[in-house]
Amino acid sequence: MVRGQPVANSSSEGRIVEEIEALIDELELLKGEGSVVLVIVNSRDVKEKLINKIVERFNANVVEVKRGQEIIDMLKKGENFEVLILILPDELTEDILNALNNYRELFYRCGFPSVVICNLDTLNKIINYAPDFWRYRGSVYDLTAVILPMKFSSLEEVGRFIDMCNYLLSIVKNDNERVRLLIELADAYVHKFAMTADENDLKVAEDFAEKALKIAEELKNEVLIKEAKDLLKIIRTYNSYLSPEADR
Amino acid sequence: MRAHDLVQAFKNFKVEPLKSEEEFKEFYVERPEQTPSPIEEILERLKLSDNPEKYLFLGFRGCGKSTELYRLKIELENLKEFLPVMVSIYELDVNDIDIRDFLVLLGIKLIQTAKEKGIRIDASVEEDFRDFLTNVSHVREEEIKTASSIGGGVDLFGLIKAKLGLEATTRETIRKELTLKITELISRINNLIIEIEYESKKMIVIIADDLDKLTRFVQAEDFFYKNHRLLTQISAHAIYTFPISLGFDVRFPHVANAFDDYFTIPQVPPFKKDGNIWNEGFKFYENVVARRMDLNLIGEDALKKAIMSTGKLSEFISIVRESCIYAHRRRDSKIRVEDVRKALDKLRTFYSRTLTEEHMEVLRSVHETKDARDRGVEDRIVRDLLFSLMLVEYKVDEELWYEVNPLLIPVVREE
Repeated sequence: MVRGQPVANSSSEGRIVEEIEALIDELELLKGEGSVVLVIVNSRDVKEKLINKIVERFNANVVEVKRGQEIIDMLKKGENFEVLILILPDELTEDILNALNNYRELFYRCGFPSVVICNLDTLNKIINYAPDFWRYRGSVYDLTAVILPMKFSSLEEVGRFIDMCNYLLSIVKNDNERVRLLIELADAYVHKFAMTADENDLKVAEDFAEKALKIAEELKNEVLIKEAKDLLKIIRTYNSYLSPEADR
Repeated sequence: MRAHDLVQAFKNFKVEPLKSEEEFKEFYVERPEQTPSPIEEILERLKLSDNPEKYLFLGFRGCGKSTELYRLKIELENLKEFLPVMVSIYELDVNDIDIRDFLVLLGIKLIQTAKEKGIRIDASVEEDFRDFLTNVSHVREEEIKTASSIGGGVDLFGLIKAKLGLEATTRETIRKELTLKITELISRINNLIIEIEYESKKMIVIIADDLDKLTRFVQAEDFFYKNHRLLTQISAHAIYTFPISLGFDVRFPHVANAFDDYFTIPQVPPFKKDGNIWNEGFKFYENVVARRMDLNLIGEDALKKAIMSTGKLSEFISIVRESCIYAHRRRDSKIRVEDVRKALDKLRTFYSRTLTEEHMEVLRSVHETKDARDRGVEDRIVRDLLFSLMLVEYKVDEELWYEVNPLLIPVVREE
């Protein structure tokens, strides 16, 4: 079961809160059983909120995975906790992918559910390079929509927001603010694409995000560089959904 | 107006910061050059900087911080390139504030200041902020209508500001909503800044006063140590007052590094480190009195007693004010030393009641060594005594020393 959609119709934060609640309910049901719940999340804030919620409710062991062996050790020896939370790194190594793929059955043999947290980019790697683990997964929760900082309930609202950002972009003097506005515009076009499924919107989003990245790099503003890159990753992932043959 | 009798003098010695240009013209006294106000330097830096600067502004209670910030505001208003926006947490519930409340207040103050100055705000930018606030505050259309029908021109922004200050439930709702949307709020504040700066052709300077008065230590810690990054994301020049007690924390350098600089406003000592009168400092206090009342309304020895027994601006002003009442009640036209002594005794009793033996030990040691340090990171006695003004930090030129509040020196000596 894949809960939530990549982007479309999932931008409401109320929905995200519901998703977290649903995940907690599912973990309650899975208590004492081995299982894998995959959570896709891009925003650090949301990741922290999710982990805090789980830790509040369960005796959980949180592991920031650096090596594949850590996953194997935890699954083999872990006894004193109710939930294992594995946070996968942004750059997935072959060692970690192999551990997930080759030791997938351990997730079901141990006596606790495992919540595996990754971002959209690493999810793609898992699908391609740890296909057996992907096949063995239980539920998937998609919390990526929260990375999109704005919420829109209608096309009209997105349109108004885009007009406002374009206006502000025409008068802004501060370069860091210019980058922020470009990112917000890119983000708004991703939302628009989610509502219209018009590929042109995604193309416009990509153009804005690329412009933002270029200026952010010139400014050497690491925070904005990361934001622009994260958004570009999302846009390109959606692009790859639209034209999967482009990946082959 | 300079007082010619004690009744007017009593009115002139309000323990409140100077605010208006007229008050500054009448009452402001420049500090000695050895203990300067940092405002001139801040002003100079703002003029030279193209990018939004973020400063922390530190100073002990009652040393004249707010007065200096109002002076900065007036100086900025007189320059065509700046638009100062004053924000004070006293507009909220000072006992229960967190960074989210402050940021909402900041957004509202930006809009209100622009409106007061007749600066047009593009409808789309204002609407966007209005919609966002309506969503996070759950304020209903009917509430706004009811509030505006009562009168006083209360709009959504005024209503939310009032509710934030008065209603715990509104604060809880807004905080909960903003947990995941704080970045959105900051983006919207920055949108307002872009728009107002463009329309006014001025650079906004946010002056956040009274943040140093966050009542609980934990509250101040949460505000500055956990959330200071949010304050630096505001895309305008900003000066944030900072609780001096946190300035003594080992984490302070880490926080200070996130800002462009920090400035401390010193107390003006009327005496030197060795206890002898420091003429420039003494003269400063004398001028404060001379600006507010005829010097023949206070005896020379009474004035000296008031200056040397306080050594801190707001306490000095409050002692003279109190002395005015005592003299007036004696039906005298002049403050005598006995009036000052009476006022000092009253304040001294108030302080000394709270002193423990542990405090006394520290006070004795500071009075002897002119140095003040806690024994360990966990030890907070010195910091608490500084915060409650029982200890005072003085800095003249580059020489820094500590002294027991002059008011309490007789208590320490008696012991």
